[in-house]
Amino acid sequence: MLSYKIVLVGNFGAGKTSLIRRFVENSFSQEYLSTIGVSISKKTIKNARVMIWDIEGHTEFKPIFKQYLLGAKGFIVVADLLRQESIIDIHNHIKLCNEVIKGAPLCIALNKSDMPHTLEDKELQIIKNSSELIIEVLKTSAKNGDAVEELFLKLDKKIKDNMSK
Amino acid sequence: MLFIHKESGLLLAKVQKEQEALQDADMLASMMTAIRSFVNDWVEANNTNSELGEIEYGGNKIIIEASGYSYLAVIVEGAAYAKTYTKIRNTLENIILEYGKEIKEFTGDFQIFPNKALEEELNLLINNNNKIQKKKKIHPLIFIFPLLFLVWLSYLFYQDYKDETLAKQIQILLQETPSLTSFRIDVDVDDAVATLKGSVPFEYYKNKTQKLLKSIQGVKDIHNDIIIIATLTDPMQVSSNIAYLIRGVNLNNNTNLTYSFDYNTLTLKGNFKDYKIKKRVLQEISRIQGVQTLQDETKMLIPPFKDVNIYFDTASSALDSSTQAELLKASQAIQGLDNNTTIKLSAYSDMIGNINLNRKLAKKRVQNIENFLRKQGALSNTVISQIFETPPPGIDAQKEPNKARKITLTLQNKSN
Ligand SMILES: Nc1nc2c(ncn2[C@@H]2O[C@H](COP(=O)(O)OP(=O)(O)OP(=O)(O)O)[C@@H](O)[C@H]2O)c(=O)[nH]1
Ligand SMILES: [Mg+2]
Repeated sequence: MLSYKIVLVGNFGAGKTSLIRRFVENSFSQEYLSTIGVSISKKTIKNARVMIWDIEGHTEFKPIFKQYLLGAKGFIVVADLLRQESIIDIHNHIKLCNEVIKGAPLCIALNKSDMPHTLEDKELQIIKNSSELIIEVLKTSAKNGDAVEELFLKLDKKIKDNMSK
Repeated sequence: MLFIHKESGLLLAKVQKEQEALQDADMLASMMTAIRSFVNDWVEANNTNSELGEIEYGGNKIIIEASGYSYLAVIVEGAAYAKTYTKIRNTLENIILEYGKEIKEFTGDFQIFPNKALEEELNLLINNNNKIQKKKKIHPLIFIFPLLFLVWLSYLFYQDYKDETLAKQIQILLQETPSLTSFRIDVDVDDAVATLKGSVPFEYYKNKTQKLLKSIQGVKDIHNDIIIIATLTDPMQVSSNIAYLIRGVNLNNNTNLTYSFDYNTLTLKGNFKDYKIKKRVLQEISRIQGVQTLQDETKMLIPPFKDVNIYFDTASSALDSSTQAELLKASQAIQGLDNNTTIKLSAYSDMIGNINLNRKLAKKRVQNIENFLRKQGALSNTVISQIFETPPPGIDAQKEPNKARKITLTLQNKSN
């Protein structure tokens, strides 16, 4: 049995809570209930017990509370495809994660892909190339479930590879 | 009772009373960790020197006892006695002493983590029913039958003999156990029941003695009357002090030091790139109370020093700006070396003009460089110089006079 912690970071309203809910309970809600502090979910992925930390999104007035990132084995950085500034902020989040846990792998979720958006697929590669820590950049939708499973499983695989080293 | 990894909030081990099974211990451990770090951060920001120790909810209480890389959360129904706190503290102390290394190196893989052994240790805390001393039985029939009395007497002698052998066996075992030899522990065996007396600095040793006795066949029961006299520094405090220091050093200096601490000797490993930093770290460590010996297994990884070549204009001893920049860089590198390093300046000549004047000029050049290093570079190393009346080896002064007017800065180590 393995046990590890991952954390979802990103700007507020990007869909962190929704992605987790889709992955853990396979459900979705249109309603927006902003996360306060932290909320924790658990999911067993094959032989691993994964504790998923959903933290309060970054806003202009409130930076992310670093302590919540401690001890994580990997991160998912979530941005909102419809909000350019949340995409620009991705690299700040990567920086923060790497400051707290040096070299921890990351997946990037560009969320709300079910909505009409302008980001072209070739830009995904550009984002991916921006840091060696990124193992995957995916367009996801918590609403219809697109690429959500893949997002968590890719990170899971990388973390397990790292652990067995 | 939950034993939790401090940073990640992952549950390392859990123990509970059967009738009060916890619903979802994993989640509780994570949530508690989040609360703990949030509260501690707030407390720290307000400059109060304490940690979250208790959470109350309903009629229940969660007692939190932290140490090093982990903490123990004990959920108690109703009020808790002062004794409970001491017991919790002691249990944690034992766990850290015994499994501190495994906890520190916890990767998330429970195949290599001794959680079962840990849980056994924790179970002791829950099922800690103090044993009541059994009274010696006296056989009533012996007064009636003398024969039986005789049998009893011989039995007693035999028992005595057995007790004595047991006591000796225990004494030898205690003396042969390295961590216990330094304490005075007396053993008295009566009716195969061993009573231990003496004093040790930590609960750990007391329990270790008890465990040791359990391994001896023939011991029916153990009364552990060893008392704890805390003369030394709390080993957990010591080890968390070390952990914080090393982590700070690594963060600030981009080093990758690792250490191990066996509650006595601190072994330091890794690489230093700078002698000054090493000196500072060793100094800091010597300030931590409770580290008795420091075993320094670190290596110095000093980047190789490149000799500096300084060229001059004809008849000039001035240092141009690029030379100054180079000298500053060199002085920084030299400061990272130990104080045994001597700076050597070798001055060469273009052989144009009067020998004596050239000599004077060379001296002036050397002096300028030394002054510059002392003033701008804040160097205190010894500087020695050697003045040649010839150009540097391999240079024809007539063909390349500008390459001949040169001073080379090299390093010499006294210890070599
Ligand atoms: N169309 C669509 N809407 C989404 C998707 N994911 C999330 N939303 C909506 O976006 C809003 C915010 O989602 P949350 O999951 O609460 O966002 P969050 O990142 O957890 O926000 P904070 O907790 O405030 O940091 C909600 O109204 C969701 O219904 C998606 O994939 N598609
Ligand atoms: Mg949320």
